[in-house]
Amino acid sequence: MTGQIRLERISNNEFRPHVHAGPLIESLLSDAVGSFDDYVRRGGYDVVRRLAQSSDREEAIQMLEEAGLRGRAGGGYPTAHKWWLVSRQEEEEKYFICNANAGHAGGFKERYLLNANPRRIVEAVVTGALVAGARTAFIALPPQFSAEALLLEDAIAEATAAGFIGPDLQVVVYRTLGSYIIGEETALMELIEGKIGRPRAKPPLPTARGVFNKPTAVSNLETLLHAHYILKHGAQNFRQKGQPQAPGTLVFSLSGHVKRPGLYELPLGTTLREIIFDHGEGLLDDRPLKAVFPGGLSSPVLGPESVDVALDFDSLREIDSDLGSGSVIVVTEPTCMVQVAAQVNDFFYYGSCGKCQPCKDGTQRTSVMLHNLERLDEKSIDRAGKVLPPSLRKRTLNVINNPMAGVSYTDTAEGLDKIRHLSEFYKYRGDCHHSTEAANSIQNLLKLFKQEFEDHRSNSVCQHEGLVTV
Amino acid sequence: MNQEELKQRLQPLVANYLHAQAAVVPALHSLLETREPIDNDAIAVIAELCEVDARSIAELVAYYPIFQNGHSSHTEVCFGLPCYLNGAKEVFEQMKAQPNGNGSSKPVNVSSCLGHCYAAPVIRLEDGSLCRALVSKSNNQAEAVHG
Ligand SMILES: Cc1cc2nc3c(=O)[nH]c(=O)nc-3n(C[C@H](O)[C@H](O)[C@H](O)COP(=O)(O)O)c2cc1C
Ligand code: SF4
Ligand code: FES
Repeated sequence: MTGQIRLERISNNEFRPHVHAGPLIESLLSDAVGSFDDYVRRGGYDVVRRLAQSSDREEAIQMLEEAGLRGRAGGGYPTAHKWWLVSRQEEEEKYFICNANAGHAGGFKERYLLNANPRRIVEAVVTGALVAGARTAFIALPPQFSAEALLLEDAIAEATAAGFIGPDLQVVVYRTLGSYIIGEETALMELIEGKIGRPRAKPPLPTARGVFNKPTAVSNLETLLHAHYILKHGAQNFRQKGQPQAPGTLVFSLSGHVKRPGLYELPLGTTLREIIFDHGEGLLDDRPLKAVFPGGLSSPVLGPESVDVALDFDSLREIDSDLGSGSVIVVTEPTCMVQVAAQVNDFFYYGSCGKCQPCKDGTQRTSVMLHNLERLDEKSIDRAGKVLPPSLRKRTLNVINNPMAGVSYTDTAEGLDKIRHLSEFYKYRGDCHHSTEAANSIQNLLKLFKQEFEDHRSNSVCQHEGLVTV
Repeated sequence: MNQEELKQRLQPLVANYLHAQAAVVPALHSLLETREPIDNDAIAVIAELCEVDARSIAELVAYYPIFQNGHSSHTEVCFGLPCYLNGAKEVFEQMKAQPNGNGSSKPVNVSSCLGHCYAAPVIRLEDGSLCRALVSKSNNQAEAVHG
């Protein structure tokens, strides 16, 4: 094909995501325009005023508990409990972090939320810091969000000038140095302390010993906005949407092979079918559905038979998957799932920070095997292309002792078990969940698309048409 | 900028933080923004102001690609899964095949998710702007052609 590349610029807003607003986004947009005085007149900083007047934080925590708010970053941890754990500590020096990092493929809500109403973001951060009793709050952003950082800094300056941010609270916009793993809360804490951002082994948990060893509450950007919404509009209002065990809405990022990708704020418990076919307007070119990553690459893949699953924390866990942060990536026929698996595993390999050898080395070996699946039966295939001839090996102690320099971990297994067994080995051998997510992801792909992997391995040919081009 | 000038410039920034160490990354960002070289002299100044070992800042600088290619002059094609599913590989191959001014092929890199997956496949041009890139089969369909 002698094609031309047609470009549509995103940078100057020629191309924007489709947005379906629910209560949170509507509330954000309701007072996004106008001066700071207009913002305050419409009820801005009312929540902060109320909190500042009362020294009792229990009421706010109780309200969040009644609302049943669970963290939107993927863990589903109760926000009220997390903030309470920090608020009850006697220490003077405590921290609050708004985690607005965005690094995983398929997730694109953070930029939209940050731009929708920077004043509200700052108000929500001040609210969280007050409830947790923190003296310093960081809004952590990836480095490419420089325009958003400026908007937030302006909003902080306005709130400080108006006295809503007092001398006993500092709010800092903190741009990270990039990388996917920096979104992990303890990696972020290391970076804030001026060190390379690699996750810490746990315990201790950040609520006990976080930034500079002080109690620290970390909440995802969207969680924080929901928390502020609850304190502004009430727990019952929040509970009107969603499920009893998973109340409220979630901003889903829908991408992949759908007709209308975009951001959809929908009640937790909305089914995959509804989001793909009703909201996303169906599958690209009406091709059959093949697979869905319901919560980004870290959430184990689902097949078409799961299309009626409710998208909430517990329903997805029941079928061994995960809601993640709601990044739904849709795959249709005739996409080759072996190529998808290789792509997904490459993400885990490149995303690994390298602190724990089983994670970095294991995901690398898995990638080598996936990219060479038709050669899987060869001896030491996990080290394909990595074994240097003896003449080229450096005779240093470091290299002689380096287990990466040629030892195969898969020669005792056969066929696809080489990948299964290796991933089982690194699954729980990491200081953070990255290695677990990597192993779960590949194990699930192998389980669900076993025949396709076997065909690739034994016939050395792809039975599918490969990846679909637009 | 000599070490003394740099010190004067960064001092107010460091003073913002309760713990000087927390200013390491903001100080590095400040240098990146003004395209100041992040060499041993600059690292020494930050280390002194932030009360950390210069070696640990040097490690940080060596670890993060932003310090090596913070201002990449290559076109990058996103290979995150949504882009990959929507034809990023074809876009990459087409872009590489396009001749450069000097007759050689264009330097094109792949990148991880560029944060606009709704517009997949996404590329970042040399000037930093982000675009949705589609391989169109006939020339007259093209609205803008990357040449
Ligand atoms: C590998 C990895 C990457 C993560 N990336 C992010 C991220 O980009 N943004 C985020 O808010 N949380 C991320 N998290 C989760 C955070 O560690 C933390 O749990 C979260 O910010 C807490 O938010 P929540 O309680 O509001 O859900 C990541 C976790 C892991 C293991
Ligand atoms: S499990 Fe992987 S990503 Fe997590 S700390 Fe260890 S090496 Fe880094
Ligand atoms: S996967 Fe390409 S922009 Fe996100």
